[in-house]
Amino acid sequence: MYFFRFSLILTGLIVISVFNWQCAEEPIVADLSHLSQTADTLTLHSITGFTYQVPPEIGSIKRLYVGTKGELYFPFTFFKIHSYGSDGTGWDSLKDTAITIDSVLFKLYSNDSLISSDIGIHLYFLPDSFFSELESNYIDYPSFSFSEWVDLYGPSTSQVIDTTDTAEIYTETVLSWEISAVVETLTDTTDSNLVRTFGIGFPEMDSTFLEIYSREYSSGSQDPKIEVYYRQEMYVASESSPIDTLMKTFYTVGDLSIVNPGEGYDVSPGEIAVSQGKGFRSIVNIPFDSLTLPEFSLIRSAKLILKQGSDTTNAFGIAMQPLGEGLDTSENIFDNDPYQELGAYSSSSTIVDGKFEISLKSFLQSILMVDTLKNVGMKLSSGLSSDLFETARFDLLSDTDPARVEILYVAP
Amino acid sequence: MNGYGIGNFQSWQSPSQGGMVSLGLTPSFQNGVSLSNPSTWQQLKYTHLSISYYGLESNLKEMNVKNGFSTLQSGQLIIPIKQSSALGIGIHPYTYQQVALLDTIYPDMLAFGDTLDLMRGYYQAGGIIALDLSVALALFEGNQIGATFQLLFGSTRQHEKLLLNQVPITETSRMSYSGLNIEFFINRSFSKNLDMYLQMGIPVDPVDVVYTDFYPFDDTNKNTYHDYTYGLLNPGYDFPHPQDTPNAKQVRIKNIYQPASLAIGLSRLLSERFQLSLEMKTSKDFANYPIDLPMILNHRINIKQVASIGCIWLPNNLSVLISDKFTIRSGLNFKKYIMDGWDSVQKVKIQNVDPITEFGGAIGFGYKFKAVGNQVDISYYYGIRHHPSTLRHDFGDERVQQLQVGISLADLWFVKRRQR
Repeated sequence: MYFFRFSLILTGLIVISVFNWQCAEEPIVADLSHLSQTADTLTLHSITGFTYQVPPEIGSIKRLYVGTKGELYFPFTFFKIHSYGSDGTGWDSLKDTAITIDSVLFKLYSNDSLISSDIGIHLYFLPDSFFSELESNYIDYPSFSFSEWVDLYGPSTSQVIDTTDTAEIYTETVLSWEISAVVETLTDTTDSNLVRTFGIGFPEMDSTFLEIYSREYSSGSQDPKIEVYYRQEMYVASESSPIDTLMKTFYTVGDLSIVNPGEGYDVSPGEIAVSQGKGFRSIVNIPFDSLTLPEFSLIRSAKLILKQGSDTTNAFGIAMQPLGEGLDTSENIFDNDPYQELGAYSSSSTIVDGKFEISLKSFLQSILMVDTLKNVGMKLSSGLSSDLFETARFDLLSDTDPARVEILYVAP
Repeated sequence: MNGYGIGNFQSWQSPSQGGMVSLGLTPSFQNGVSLSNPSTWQQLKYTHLSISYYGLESNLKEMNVKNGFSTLQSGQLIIPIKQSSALGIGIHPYTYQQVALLDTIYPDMLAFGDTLDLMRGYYQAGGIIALDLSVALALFEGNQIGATFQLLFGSTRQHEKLLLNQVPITETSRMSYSGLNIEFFINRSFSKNLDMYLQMGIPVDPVDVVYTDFYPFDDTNKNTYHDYTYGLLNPGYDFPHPQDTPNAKQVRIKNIYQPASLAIGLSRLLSERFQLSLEMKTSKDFANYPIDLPMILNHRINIKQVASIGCIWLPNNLSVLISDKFTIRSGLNFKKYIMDGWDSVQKVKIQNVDPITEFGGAIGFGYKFKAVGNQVDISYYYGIRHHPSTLRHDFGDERVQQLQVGISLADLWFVKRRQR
């Protein structure tokens, strides 16, 4: 009986222990200095580079230009109008006998409040394909003129004022052309290859400059477009025929300003430059290969640091793209960019206070890990949102703040 | 202990064994039977399926660190055949290798004008599992022999971390073990009340390890795994992308563990239901110190010596009283772990290290139910482990508690049924 009681007490104690038991994992503080992982830094100097020039590619930017600004000359801007309206119906729907077209307006938008109707710019029309938004450049139009295009003359302008508040706020300027003269061509259904191309330009080359929004700027409201205002008779049984006043919108499917960078490869030795408007791109070479760091190293950060000289450019975005293969040439002006990109490990950054820092972490880490990947240089080119008229110049040989790559890594 | 060599060895495979801190030679399960000693299994009348579970809690008092975990202790099937022979199969952990170490005592690092907070961590989980295939045979009156073929397998995962500004750079590795031991058991009865037990273990195929070292990664989302999952608590993705990393390096390290052991036990029934046991065991790892095998604490257990004394109050199989169905066990033991190590800086072997010692006691009980002898066992162990200050890592005194719970279900096999 005593053993039975003893067993009951023991059972109770063990049950209490079970309920108090808990799994826990508290790290024990111990000396782990013998572990091999070590953080270290490496600074790479001897950064070399050069600049080359290609025709500017500005088909994807948010503005369109005509005229001259700084060193850049924009002789004309082209538009391609969609075959279908915003309601999904084509131009041929306007040929319905129940429809009477009142007016056809080609509209452009600008944030320049000083634009007036006598700006002198003309709109031209050509029922043919004439440009590629992403590929055409000034080299494709060496002696171009609008002489064979239909001249639709100058625009009427109006300013849009936001009156929802007591303080009237300027919103935008609308440039509008009445183009009913070409509506028959626009609605032509017999030409299966019809491309509705428009262009704007100054008949006389002067110092006037026009900046307007491109189709990349907004989601439609400020896009270049054609608005067709018309009346349509509505046939309803046993009733008279009411007439509706309606409007169709045809947006652009491509727009491009042609820019001539002029005569200007003005890059000094020891300097590299990046410019969207001038078409400057730079190749930078850094002394880094798969043996630069110990095997199995992991890069925590790797930054290419470039310093500008006396002229600084703030908020200028630059993209870095590793090259797929090198090129042995002494040329620095090309009709097409000959430096093929790798298509991976790219990054981008912005100049701040005259200093450009961009991460090379993915690229350099991949060089360590992938046997077939070689470092044959990297291309620096202007970001799409960078100021078209600015040129960012970097001094590679600066005594005070030389170009370098700073790497923080952990070796196994 | 888990960080030394191939880890901390499992001491007991069942709560019955643990309740009297037995080395497994002398009877602790039932009268004349030890679940860990095949040479005693002929005494069983029924086939037994035993499952046990255990929890461990370790408390490093001086460091104010408490750790605990629970896991399956063993699963075992014993089939006695006509009380003359027996077969058994069992699976149980052989060593435990859970480790969590942290080193915060580093000066900040200055890198390109930024001050970086530095810490190191080492985490390890897993261990070696043993699959035991046993056979027992009665030779002649009072003499039984048994043998256990012990197949060792299993793996551990290591995470070596260097934390830069709290974000770990993790190098993961994996060790997969394989080996084969054999243990021989002899049981000789000198009289009805006095038995002697011998055990000898030898390595048939020393333990090899396949060491796989994976490419390190920035564990930005801090989930320990190299994945490409965006962490909400720790925003960001691991770097580099898991698919971009080269294949892991893999090497086979041979002969890292080659154990041999010798044990002796005596048991004496002081009355019909009270047994006193005495056991001693020494085991030694004959493998050369595996300098190629990464060991976080740079030491291994080279020799382990254990002595234990235990007693058991056995149930009365003939009684119908509930109180007579209880088994009560208790015992004391002393363990001594003799270490050696390797100084990776000086490239010399470290010997004559002060041993780790452990003294502990256990208490437990079992309850037998149904006619076939089903049994529930519970035991509790408390021990004080002393880590010498001369070791590289001075852990001080460690309080160890273990709680073990098991159940054995019995059934009658190999009986000819009467033809109707």
